[in-house]
Amino acid sequence: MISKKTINHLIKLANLRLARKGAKKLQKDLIATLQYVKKLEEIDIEGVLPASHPMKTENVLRRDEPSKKEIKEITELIRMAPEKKNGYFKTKRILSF
Amino acid sequence: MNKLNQLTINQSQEGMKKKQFSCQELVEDCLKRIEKIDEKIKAFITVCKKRAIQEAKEKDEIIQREKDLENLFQKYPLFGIPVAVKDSFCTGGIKTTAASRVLENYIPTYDATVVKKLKEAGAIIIGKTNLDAWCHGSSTEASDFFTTHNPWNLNRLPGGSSGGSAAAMAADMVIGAIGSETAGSIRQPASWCGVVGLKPTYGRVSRFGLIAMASSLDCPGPITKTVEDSAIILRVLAGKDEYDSTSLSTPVPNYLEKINGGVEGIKIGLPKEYFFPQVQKEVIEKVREAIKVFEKIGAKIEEISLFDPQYAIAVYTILQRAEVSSNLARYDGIRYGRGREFFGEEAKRRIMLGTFVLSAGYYEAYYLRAQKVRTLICQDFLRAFKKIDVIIAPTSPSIALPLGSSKDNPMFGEIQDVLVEPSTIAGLPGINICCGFSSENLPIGFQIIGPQLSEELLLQVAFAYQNETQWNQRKPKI
Repeated sequence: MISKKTINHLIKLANLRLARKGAKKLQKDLIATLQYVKKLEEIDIEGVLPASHPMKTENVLRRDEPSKKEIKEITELIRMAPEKKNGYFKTKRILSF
Repeated sequence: MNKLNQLTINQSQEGMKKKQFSCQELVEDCLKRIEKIDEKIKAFITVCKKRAIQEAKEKDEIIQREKDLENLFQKYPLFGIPVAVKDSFCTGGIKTTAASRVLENYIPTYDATVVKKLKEAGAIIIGKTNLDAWCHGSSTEASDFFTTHNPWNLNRLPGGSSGGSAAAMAADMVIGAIGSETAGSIRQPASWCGVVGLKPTYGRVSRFGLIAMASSLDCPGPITKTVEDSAIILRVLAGKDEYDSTSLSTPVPNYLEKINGGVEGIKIGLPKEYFFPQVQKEVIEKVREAIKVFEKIGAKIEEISLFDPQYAIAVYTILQRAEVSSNLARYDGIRYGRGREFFGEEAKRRIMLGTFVLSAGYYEAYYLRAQKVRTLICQDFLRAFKKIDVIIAPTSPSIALPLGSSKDNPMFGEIQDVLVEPSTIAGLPGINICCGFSSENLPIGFQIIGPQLSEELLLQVAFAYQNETQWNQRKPKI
C-alpha cells in the first residue's frame, strides 16, 4: 500500500528527517492505520456533501491594521530568538541553489 | 483551617468573603499540596509559585479594601481562585511547551483568550499541566518530558491529552483546571481520574492562543471537582472572540441559573451501539446503575440507535492527521527557535499520515471520503435529537489502564476515544461525570451528550445526578 519510495517522498514533503530504522517503523504504522480507516469504504457516500466544519459558518472579516501592541511583541519575540542579526531572526539556510 | 486545597470554587469564595481565610492561604495550601505530592503524580510542567503568591497578596489587598465583597465576587466570578492550565494554552511571560521539545523554551508574549478571560475574572494561574505532546494522545505517555500518574493508583495512566489537569484536580492540587479537547482529551482523562470534564460546543470557547492541533475540532473547557464549578468556569470562558473567527456569538447564559432544574420528564437516549462487547463489564454495569438513578429521579429512558462509533474513529483519524500535518508545518525552525528534528515519534507519525491523505492521488479516497462521512455523522445526531433531549453512554471503554499501555500502538488514542469521537466530529458538547468505582477502586465515568449549544441542559442533568450520588466526595489516598 505504502512503498518505501512513497515514504521517502512524504518525508521530503513534510520536511522531516528520519533515520532508516525510524522510516521503516513509520511505514509499518502507516500501513496499519490505513488498513484501519479502510472501514469507511463500507459506507455509501453517494450524493453526500463533504463537511469541513461542524457548525454553519460565515466568512468573518476585519481591517488589516497592525497595532502598536504587535510591534512591541515583535521586539520581544526577536529578543528571545536563539540567534539574531540586525533585528531579524538568524536561521540556517532553508533554500539551496 | 487547613486543607483549603480541597475546596470547590464556591466554597473557596465563601471562605474568602467571610474572611475565614485569605487568598494567600488558599494559594499556599495548593502550592504545599503540589510540593508534597507532585513528585509522584507529575501533573505539572511549570509551577508559578512566586507569581501566584504575589497575585494572591494583591487579591487580599483588594478584599481588605473592598466594602461590598458580595459585589466583588459577583463581578469577578473566579476572584482569587487558583487554576491550573494545560500547557497547550499560551500564557504571556510563562513558558508554554505543549509538552514538546520543539517549544521547550518558548515564552509567549501574549495570553490565550481563555487565559485572558480567567485572569479578568480574577483567577490566579498556579501552573501549567502536562499533556501528550501537541495534545497527540490519550495517556500523557506521548509527552516529550514525562508521564503523569493517576492519583487513584500511581501505576495507572491518568488518560489524556489533558491528563495533567485531570490528575491535578483529582489530587486536590488546585481549585479549578482548564483542558482542551479535540476528541476525548477533556472527557477521557476526567473519566479515568474521577472528576468532572466539560467539552463545550465547538466555537463556544475561543481557540485563540491554544496551540493548534486540529482546528476544526479543538475546544477548550473546564475540568473541575463539581458540576457547579464547571458551570462557573464555562460562563467565564464562553463567548465571541474577535481573534477566533469560528467562535460563536450566541449569548452566554448564566449556567448556574437552571442547574437545579432536575430531570423530570427529560428524555435520555441510550445508543445501543455504544454498549459494545469491548467496553469493560464493570464500566457497563456502573453506567447502567447511573441510568437507574436517572429513572428514579424522573427522567425517561429510551434505547436509540446511532451510527456505529467505529466509523467515527476512521473519520477522525483522517481529518485530525490532515489538520495536524498542516498546523505543525509552522514549526519550521525559523519562527520558534527549534526545528523539525525536535518532533517526537507520535508527531512525526501524525504528520506523515496527514501529508499522505492530503497528497495528490489520495485526497479523494481518504480526506474527501472522511469529510462526507462526517456529514452523515452530523445528520445522524440531528435525527436522534428530534426524539430525545440528551444521550448517555460510557465515556471510555475502560477504567484507567496501566502505565505503558499506549506504547507501540499507533491507534491507542483512537481506540480509547471511540465513544467520544462521534460527538466531537459533530461539534457537540459533552460532560463526563463519575458514576462509581471499579473493584480496584478506580473511577468510572459516563458522558452526557447534547445538541449544539445545550451546555445549560447538560449541566442541569449532570448536577441532578451528582446531587443524588455524590461520587465526587470520594478522594484518592496518595
